[in-house]
Amino acid sequence: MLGDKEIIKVEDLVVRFEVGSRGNKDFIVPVDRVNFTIHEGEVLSLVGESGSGKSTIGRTIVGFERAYSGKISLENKNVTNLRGQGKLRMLRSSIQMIFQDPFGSLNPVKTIEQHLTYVLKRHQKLRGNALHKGLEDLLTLVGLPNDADAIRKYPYELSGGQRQRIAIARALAVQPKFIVADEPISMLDVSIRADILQLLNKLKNELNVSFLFITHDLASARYFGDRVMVLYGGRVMETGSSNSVINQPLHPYTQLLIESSSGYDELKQVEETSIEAPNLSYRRHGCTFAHRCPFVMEECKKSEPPLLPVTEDHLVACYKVHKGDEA
Amino acid sequence: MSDQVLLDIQNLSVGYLTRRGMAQAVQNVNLQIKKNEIVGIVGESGCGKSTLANAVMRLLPDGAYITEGSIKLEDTDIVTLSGETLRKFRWQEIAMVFQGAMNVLNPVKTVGSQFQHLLMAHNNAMTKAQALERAKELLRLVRIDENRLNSYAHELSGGMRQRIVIAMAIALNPKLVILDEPTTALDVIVQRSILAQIVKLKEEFGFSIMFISHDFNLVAEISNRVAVMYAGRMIELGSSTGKWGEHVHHPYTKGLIRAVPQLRATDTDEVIGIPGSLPSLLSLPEGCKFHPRCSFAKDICKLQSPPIQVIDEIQMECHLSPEELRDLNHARG
Ligand SMILES: Nc1ncnc2c1ncn2[C@@H]1O[C@H](COP(=O)(O)OP(=O)(O)OP(=O)(O)O)[C@@H](O)[C@H]1O
Ligand SMILES: Nc1ncnc2c1ncn2[C@@H]1O[C@H](COP(=O)(O)OP(=O)(O)OP(=O)(O)O)[C@@H](O)[C@H]1O
Ligand code: SF4
Ligand SMILES: [Mg+2]
Ligand SMILES: [Mg+2]
Repeated sequence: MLGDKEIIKVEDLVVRFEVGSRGNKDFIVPVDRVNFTIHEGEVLSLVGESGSGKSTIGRTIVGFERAYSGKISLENKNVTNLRGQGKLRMLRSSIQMIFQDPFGSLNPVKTIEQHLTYVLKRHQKLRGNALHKGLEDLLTLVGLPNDADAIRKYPYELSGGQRQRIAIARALAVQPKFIVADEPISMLDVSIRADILQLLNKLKNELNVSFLFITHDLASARYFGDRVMVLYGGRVMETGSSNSVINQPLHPYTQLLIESSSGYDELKQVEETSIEAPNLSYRRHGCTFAHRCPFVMEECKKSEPPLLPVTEDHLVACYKVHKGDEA
Repeated sequence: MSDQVLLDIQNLSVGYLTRRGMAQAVQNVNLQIKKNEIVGIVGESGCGKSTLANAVMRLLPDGAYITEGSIKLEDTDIVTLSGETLRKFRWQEIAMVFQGAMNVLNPVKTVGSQFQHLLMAHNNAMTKAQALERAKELLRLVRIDENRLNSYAHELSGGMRQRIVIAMAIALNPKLVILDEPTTALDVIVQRSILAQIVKLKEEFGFSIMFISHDFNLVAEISNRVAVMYAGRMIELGSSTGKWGEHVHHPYTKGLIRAVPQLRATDTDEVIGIPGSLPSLLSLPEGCKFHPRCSFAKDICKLQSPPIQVIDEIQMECHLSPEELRDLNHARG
């Protein structure tokens, strides 16, 4: 279960992208001074609307994007912006990523068996009987049939749920300590999503794997996550234990998100706010949510509210909430 | 909502002719939608939701056939319409927002000229200036600044494009608006605000809505009645008043409800998947189409099509007795 050991620590992470065309260049910061720590066997759910920077955070941790500033540590070792095949391979033997589209992440001309034995040979150096046993264990673990017929199938011969199981099995073959799961269930049919969620839960509980779970669905964020972090325009709005964030949301954005989610209540008119996307320019100032916030005050537009604890394990970046505390 | 039936679908079957035979995508569906009513249609991918909607719009692709049944809008028999009458009927009587509709706007024409085209094509007497006025009015209805008439699709956010497509759907005052997953690509806040607006427009103009989605929580929240489809069959249809998730339901619907985490759940609530996978339309099981995946199946389920039962204003195709169906609420999957 949940240990004290820090697996991943992200400190003041900033990711910048160059946008615009020649002569009109600008930078956006889809990830802006983000901090979090994930312990052994712990799941942090990252939620927020499209474009809030969720995937970029995940991709930067696994080394697909470069950090502009800040630090990423894996078990106290600095792994920010590693370069070179060797170092990246080392990183990937501890950190794996699972994607939304299981089809896109598998090789169409390789069978299930080939996908998995390749990784088992390479990372665990298994051969002969041990390899056989390794494959068997892996298939059992992710709930896939283990007969000769089944493992000779190609990705296109599998259902979406089975493909996602293969992608998960392949990630596990590396025996990672940490998995970034980027919307792993959103493309699957409703009736099979539960099984994948349960599988992830089992890996967390039985193998003590830690997860960064990226989702736009608050209900699964709460279900799988020990903690939830809410992003808007690359900034952390609110973070805390799943139950406190979902049951007692404090930030106006989180409140709006929850009231808008299906399963919350009868349809009611959520307060109309602007539907413009957040300003991601590196020169922006003030609260990133100010332009849509029903409670916006003068100071919200001028300076950025800091992320402060409201209770020991519940942090919020909002002037209205901080003010309420003083009163 | 009135008791007058607007859309009447009787025993409708639609099949796609494929190389390996006829795929029955919609099978013996009966559904009535009343005036000013919202009927939601839920079900997993491939269960036939869009096929049903396209049949009502008479927009089935080549190779698709209505093999059985009738569809009527008031006194008009939709199945036999053709030519100019069909063209006028579509959009004027029934309009549809298609799955992925955010991308249906023409990229090289301004929003305004697309409105003008639509309005003038259906009303020869309308001038350009009148069409422009009407377009402005429509944009106001969906809360978009009229300046946006000069914009091109790529200059608009997904939510704005969606609102514009909805404004186009109601432009000719149709009696029925079909929404096929109108907001799935949108963020929840934008989605909620658009749906709330559609419901308001419906109250104001009195049309009816067929609302298709795979998100049954959402459907139950906005609809008067909910239909659940599985492998082409409408296996459940009924009222969505009160807490829908706590009603009596078909075993498949119960399974779906248990399969997704609920926002308002407690720590002890488990999610439980439905075993097996969706059947192929080319080799559907005998008896109840759901029996291979149903934890409650009896021998008869494998042999005979289940009868329709009505419990608490919900009709279900199932062999279980009313007591057994009620007990599902307490049973574990
Ligand atoms: N390589 C890149 N170059 C420029 N901009 C990028 C790049 N990758 C991402 N972005 C931008 O960064 C922002 C954050 O994108 P990101 O994919 O992290 O969002 P997300 O929260 O994962 O959204 P979604 O829910 O849609 O997956 C977006 O505005 C996106 O367009
Ligand atoms: N043009 C076609 N030719 C052959 N089969 C088709 C065609 N269009 C759809 N089908 C099949 O008919 C069935 C029903 O498809 P339909 O698009 O109505 O499902 P749906 O419920 O709308 O699914 P989704 O939630 O994915 O939109 C599916 O099994 C599909 O594969
Ligand atoms: S008819 Fe039988 S198999 Fe079908 S849903 Fe009811 S109990 Fe299950
Ligand atoms: Mg993403
Ligand atoms: Mg569809």
